[in-house]
Amino acid sequence: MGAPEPGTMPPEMMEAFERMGRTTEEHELLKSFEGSWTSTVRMFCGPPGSDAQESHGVMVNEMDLDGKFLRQVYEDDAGAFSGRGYWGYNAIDGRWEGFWIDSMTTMFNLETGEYDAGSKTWTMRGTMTDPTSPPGEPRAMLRRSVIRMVSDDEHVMEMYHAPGGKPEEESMGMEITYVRA
Amino acid sequence: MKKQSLISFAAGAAVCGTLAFGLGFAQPEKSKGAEKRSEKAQPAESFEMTPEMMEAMFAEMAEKATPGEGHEKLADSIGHWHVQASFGEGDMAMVGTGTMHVKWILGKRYTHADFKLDDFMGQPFHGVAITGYSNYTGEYQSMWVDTMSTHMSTMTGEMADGVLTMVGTSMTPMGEAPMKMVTTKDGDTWTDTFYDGMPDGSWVQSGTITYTRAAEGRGQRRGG
Repeated sequence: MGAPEPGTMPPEMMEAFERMGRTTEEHELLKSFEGSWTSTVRMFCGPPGSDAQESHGVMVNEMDLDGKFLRQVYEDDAGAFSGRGYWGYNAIDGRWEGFWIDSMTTMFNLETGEYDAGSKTWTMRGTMTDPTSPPGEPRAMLRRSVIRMVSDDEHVMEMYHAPGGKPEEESMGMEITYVRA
Repeated sequence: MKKQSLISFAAGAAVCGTLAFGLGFAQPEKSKGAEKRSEKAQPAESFEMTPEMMEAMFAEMAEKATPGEGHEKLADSIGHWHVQASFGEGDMAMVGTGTMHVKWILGKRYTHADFKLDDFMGQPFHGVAITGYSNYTGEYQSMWVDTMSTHMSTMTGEMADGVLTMVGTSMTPMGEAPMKMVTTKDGDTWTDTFYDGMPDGSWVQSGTITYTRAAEGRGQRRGG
C-alpha cells in the first residue's frame, strides 16, 4: 500500500481538507497556557459558609498535533490524583472544545464554549453524569467552567455544577488558581 | 432548604467528594468534608443527609470510579501495532501505512493510542485516541484528535461478542457528519471499519484501518 500521488484528488477537495486543518489566531491564544503551572485548588464542598478545602498540584500544558490542541497533564502534590485534558478551537464550527478525564472517575468530561476577548475569559459548558444517580439510571448534570487569564503568568478556573439540569441552580464547586512555575 | 436544593447540594457534594478522593482530602468511609459539614455548618434543618447516607453515596461513587470488567476488555489493544489505512476510492482514495502505540493511562481507566502514518495525502499524519468505559452509563467512550483537523471527535458505543461498535461524529470537508466505527479482532490482527451516516439513516462504508501486532509488542498486551 503506497501513499497517493498528491494531485490525484480534485483541487477543491484538497483545499477543503486544508481548511479543516488550518489553525487560527485562537490557537495562538492557546499557546499562552503552555508551560508548567503550580495550582492552588479550592473546593467548596459544603453549603454556603463552609470552609474551602485546599490542595496543590502541577499542570503541564503543551501544544500538540501541529499546534491544533493544548495537551494537559495534571498531577497533585499528594500523588493521589492525575488528570489529562485536551483543549482546542474548532475553527470549522467556530467554538472552543475541551476534554478532561482523571483518575477519580470513569467518565469523559466534554465542554464547548466561547471566548470573550474583553475580559480574556473563556466560558465552557458541558454535561456530566451526576455521581449520585441511582444505579442504572444515569442523570445528566450541567457543568460550566470559566477560565480567566489574569496575566501572562496566572490564570484562574472556576467550575460550577447544576444537578437537575437547571442552570439557575448551579453552584461553584471548585476554583483553581494556576501560577507559572 | 427546598428539596431541589438538597438534591443539588448532595450532587455537588458528590462531585466535590469525587475530587476530594483524588486530592487526598477524603476517604470513602468518612470524609473530612463530611466532618466539616456535620461539625460546623450543618444545622439539622438545612441538611437531611445522614452520615450513613453520605457513606453509602461515597461508597457508590468509589465503586463507579474504579475500573472494572468493561475496562479489562480494552486490554487487548495495549502494545505496538503496524497500521494500514485506506479511505475512499478512485481519485478520492486516501491510503497510508504507519504505527500505533497503545498504553494504559490514569490507573487503567483509559487507553491512550498514539497513531502515526508516514505519509497520508502527502503529509505525515498524527492522531491521538483516548478510549474508556463509563461505569456510570455502561457505555464505551472514545475521543479522537489529529493533525488533519481542529475538530475534536467523540463517540460512544458498546461491545458485544468482542465487537466494539461506536457511533459519533467526525469532521469531513463537507462538514460535521455522523460516523460509525466497528472494531473486530482476530488474534493479533484488528480492523476498524468506518461508516458514514446517510440522510436516510443508513450507513455507507468509508474506509478501514487494519492493525497487526508488531513483534516488539507481543506479550505486552495485558501488561499495560
